[in-house]
Amino acid sequence: MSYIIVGNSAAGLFAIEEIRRHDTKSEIIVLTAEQEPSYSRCLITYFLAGEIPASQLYLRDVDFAARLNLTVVYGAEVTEIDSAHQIVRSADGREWHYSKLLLAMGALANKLSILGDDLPEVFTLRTMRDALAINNILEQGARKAIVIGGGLVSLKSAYALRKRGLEVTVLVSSGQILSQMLDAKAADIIQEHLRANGLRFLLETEAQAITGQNHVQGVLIAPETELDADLVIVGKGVRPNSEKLRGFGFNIGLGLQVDSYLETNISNIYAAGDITETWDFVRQKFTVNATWPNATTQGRIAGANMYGRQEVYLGSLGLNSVDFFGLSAMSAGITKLLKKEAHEDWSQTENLKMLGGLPIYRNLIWQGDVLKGFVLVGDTSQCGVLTALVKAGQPLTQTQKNLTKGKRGTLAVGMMK
Amino acid sequence: MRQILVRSEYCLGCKSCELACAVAHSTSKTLFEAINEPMPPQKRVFVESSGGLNFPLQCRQCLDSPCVHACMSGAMQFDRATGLIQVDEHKCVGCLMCVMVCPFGVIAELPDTHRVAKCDRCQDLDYDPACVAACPTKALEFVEVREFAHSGRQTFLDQMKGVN
Ligand SMILES: Cc1cc2nc3c(=O)[nH]c(=O)nc-3n(C[C@H](O)[C@H](O)[C@H](O)COP(=O)(O)OP(=O)(O)OC[C@H]3O[C@@H](n4cnc5c(N)ncnc54)[C@H](O)[C@@H]3O)c2cc1C
Ligand code: SF4
Ligand code: SF4
Repeated sequence: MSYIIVGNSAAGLFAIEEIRRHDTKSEIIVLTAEQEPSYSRCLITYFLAGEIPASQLYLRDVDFAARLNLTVVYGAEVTEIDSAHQIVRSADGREWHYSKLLLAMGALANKLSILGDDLPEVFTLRTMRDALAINNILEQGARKAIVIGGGLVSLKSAYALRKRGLEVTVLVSSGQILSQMLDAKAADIIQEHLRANGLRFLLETEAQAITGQNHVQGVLIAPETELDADLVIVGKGVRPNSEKLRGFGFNIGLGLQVDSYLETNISNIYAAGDITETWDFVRQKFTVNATWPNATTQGRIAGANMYGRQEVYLGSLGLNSVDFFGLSAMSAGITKLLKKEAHEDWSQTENLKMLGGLPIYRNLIWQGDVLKGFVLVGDTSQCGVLTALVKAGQPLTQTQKNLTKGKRGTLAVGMMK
Repeated sequence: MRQILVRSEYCLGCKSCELACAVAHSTSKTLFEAINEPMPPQKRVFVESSGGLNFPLQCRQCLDSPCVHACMSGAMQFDRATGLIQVDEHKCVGCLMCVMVCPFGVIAELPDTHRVAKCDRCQDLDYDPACVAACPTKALEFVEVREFAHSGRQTFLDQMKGVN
């Protein structure tokens, strides 16, 4: 038996650990296009902010590969899969034979295609290498940054740059920040909090071009309006790396399609993480839920099934958490009522209050008596119990529904009766 | 492995366990000194009440370990020596991803250090949990898992999660 894992990030790492829990002998070869042992992509903005050293990005101890008896090949970019002969090939012509293959190649940051997007101070932020390069620019004394995009990665980047003392302007093409994660009210609260801490926002604003000859000078947002900048970060979402696998016989939708064991349509080839299209069991549709907990869970289950167990993956859940300048927000499942649903059996219970100068907001979304999702800002201590209720998908009694208004454990205990 | 068994019907809601837990996680490990420590010690057990039912909640060491899967720093991990899920406070960045998924709501935020803490089975006390020793009615007991499985109650959350 020879396992090949392509990608050593969230999904790959959890798959490897799961396989080794069951099988200590077989060969495990880990191929990664990057040059780094498993590190946390989510923490690169913490590094940029100066909150943690680069060494703290690594997820496991230095002896990890040796202890688990792994062969890790860095800089191996897989470009070809020959499933008839069970072989993967890399761009530089190396090849490896597999009995079971996991594709955990994640996603790629979308680039802008506007004039000036190839200037040296224009970045997307996806890898440790991106972070180190941006850090270099900061150390050379960059003072003004423009972040294009209002999603999670954009805001985490903007926060980091602000923490490093830069003047930061965020350009958002829609009318709301974090529109995938939060409802409009929660987004307003977070935006106001970020503004109070020195970030500037321009909503409904598109970057038209990036100006400058050899270096970034500014960003043009209207024919006559240019904002000064010496650093531009583009956060326009991510794209699963599945596009690169067209032509090898895979079923590809929004990402690599898999069955409930996370196996692709080609036997012995599994997929997990940001590259994978999965069943969102709350939104009831196939989608790519590109977050860390989904990637690790899929990785672990794919690993178990590659070993030969038969674990069913029940599906993914949109959920996320942010914490900026002491104000945290979390959401899971369905976070906004769509207009067409409003008249059916959907409802929401919304609540906003101030405590010690900080806003506390919560919005729970119900379909009948089933909790379908929520948004919390400020007090997030009860979040885990609510997440469990969303996952359970069971109708609650009125008494239980009332408990969701209470503090953390009252809810958990109330559910036990 | 031993588990902390909760017999909620014996719990008076006196919170002796909460106090003992905070003291056990203080620097001095004594109540009088703990009160004056610069970083107030954080309890990791929460006595919760709901309509006549009292329940001391602490980390249940979930088999499916949602907190480990959610942790994006590698701080929340299985400790190789004991097989327990523990937080490495040097790695934790306080992102609260674990809080977001812990179905029992038993991960405490430490606002001063911007990290989290949860029941560690009293690592510092040779894994002799202070809450169990402090409980006057034996609502908390530290017992082998097999025994636990027989006498432990099937809770709503346990059922839906397949915990223990
Ligand atoms: C700045 C930032 C902040 C984030 N913050 C959060 C957050 O707060 N919460 C959250 O839930 N999620 C967050 N995310 C998303 C999270 O990081 C991803 O969901 C997660 O990393 C997905 O893991 P993965 O294993 O599927 O793939 P990835 O992490 O994308 O890793 C892909 C792996 O595959 C390798 N690879 C790619 N292509 C090839 C190839 N052709 N050949 C060989 N190897 C290849 C790469 O080297 C890498 O090892 C953030 C992401 C970023 C960039
Ligand atoms: S999810 Fe909560 S109860 Fe379960 S192991 Fe983690 S901290 Fe403990
Ligand atoms: S708060 Fe700490 S332990 Fe919890 S998920 Fe974040 S880094 Fe991990």
